[in-house]
Amino acid sequence: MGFLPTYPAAGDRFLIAPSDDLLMFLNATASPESYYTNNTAWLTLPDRQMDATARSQIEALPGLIGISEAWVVYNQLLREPLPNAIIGVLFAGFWISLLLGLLDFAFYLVMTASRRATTFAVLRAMGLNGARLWGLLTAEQLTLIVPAIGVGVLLGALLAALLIPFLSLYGDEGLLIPVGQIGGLLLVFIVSFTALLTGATIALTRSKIGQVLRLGDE
Amino acid sequence: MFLMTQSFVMCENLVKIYKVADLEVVALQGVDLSVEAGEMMALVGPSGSGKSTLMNILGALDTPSAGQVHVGEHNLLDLSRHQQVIYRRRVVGFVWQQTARNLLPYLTAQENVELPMALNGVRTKERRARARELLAAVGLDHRFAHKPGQMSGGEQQRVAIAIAVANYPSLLLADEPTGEVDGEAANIIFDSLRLLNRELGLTIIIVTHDHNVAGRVDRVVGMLDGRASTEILRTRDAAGQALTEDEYVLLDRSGRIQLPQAYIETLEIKDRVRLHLSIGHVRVYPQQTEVSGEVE
Repeated sequence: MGFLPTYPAAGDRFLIAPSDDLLMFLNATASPESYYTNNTAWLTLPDRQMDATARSQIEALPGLIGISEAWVVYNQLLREPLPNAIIGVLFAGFWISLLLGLLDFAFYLVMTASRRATTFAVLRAMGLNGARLWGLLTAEQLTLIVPAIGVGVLLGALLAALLIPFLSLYGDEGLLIPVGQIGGLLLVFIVSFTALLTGATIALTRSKIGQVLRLGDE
Repeated sequence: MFLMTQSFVMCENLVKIYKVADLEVVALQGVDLSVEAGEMMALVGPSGSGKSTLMNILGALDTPSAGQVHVGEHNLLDLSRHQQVIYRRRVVGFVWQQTARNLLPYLTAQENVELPMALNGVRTKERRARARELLAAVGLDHRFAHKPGQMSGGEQQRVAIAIAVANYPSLLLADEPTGEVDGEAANIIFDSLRLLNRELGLTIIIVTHDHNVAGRVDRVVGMLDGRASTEILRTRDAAGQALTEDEYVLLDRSGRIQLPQAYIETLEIKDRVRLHLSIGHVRVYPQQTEVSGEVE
């Protein structure tokens, strides 16, 4: 099989067919070790630009199917809906998880503050001030959250290593860690965490110890 | 400024008004009370008479609506939030009726006693030694490592007393310290309080309904309707046996007294009484009684 440099003369044996259809026909009995494909040549160009002379010379080659520039192909891949949808869902998942986590944490703090109001009131009666109360709550939460984040990161890394290759998002491209996004996520988490703890501390220190302990209920 | 001639605890015309929804509840209606340093006294009275409100104010857990209140050199009305924290940490100790309010259930007796010292910045070694010393002083040297759930109510209250005096306070406020324990445990708790009062010169104010406790202190102030109304003073011999017991009706700084309810009921006194000045005393008659205006 090959390409005819000139139009065949009468009596020549030839077949004219679209190359994609022809490949499909020829590969009907192909195997991974032996198959027909179009030849692809990647050229390294100075300044990554193809000048008009080079382009016209390439276009003059017989059997040329087309010329593509790498960045054009890359941008086409970027616009592929499936990978974008997957990445979008993953990032939405991050932010929704963060939001739900913070809501859960706020709810937990409210429950903690109400359920343990007596304990905190007793400690305040002993001389626990707002700063120490904040420190106490923070230390308590950090002992839970830091290991949880560690386990989450490990599980996330493991799942990424296991699952992302199967998604075949960008061919052989390596796993990219979106440092900026993760940094933003962590910043939002830290700011919200601090604000929630501060709010809980203020609520606890503003409550009247005597009323919390019901010391007036004689 | 604390004057040496001034009582250790001084309440003057103390008023406390709570707002509950749109209602104003007057818990204290001009209480005058003074307690000397090193005194151990009891506050008694029916529910709602203002005993606990007064304790809350003395402990800087609440602020009065009007009046004056001094404890030692501290004017409790002038304390900032920070000063209130320091005051609660160093000047006053609390023992509450419910043992659960005195101790943290997940800490051992020793750790519970160490806690207020830790809040006061006492070093670990020092506070450990003092915690053991205090627990031994209240007879719990065999309970250092026990958690509240492993101790009886009486033992928990004795740990609470050790906690209350951990930071060398000058004033101990005990709100019904024997309210949830049996008679024997109540005696042990009272003895612990008495020991601290005698050995350390600690000023102790006990709110109680327990006649046994009220009967064992030398001064009992009765509160009624937000005022200090009566006072019992006792003298004792060296063995602690009461020699004399005198009951007084308190006269406030405006010249008001509260007649005992039993007298009011017996004489069927309604809204008014007649006063009759006699030599060395004043007579009080029901309104309907005819009284000659002569001074005897």
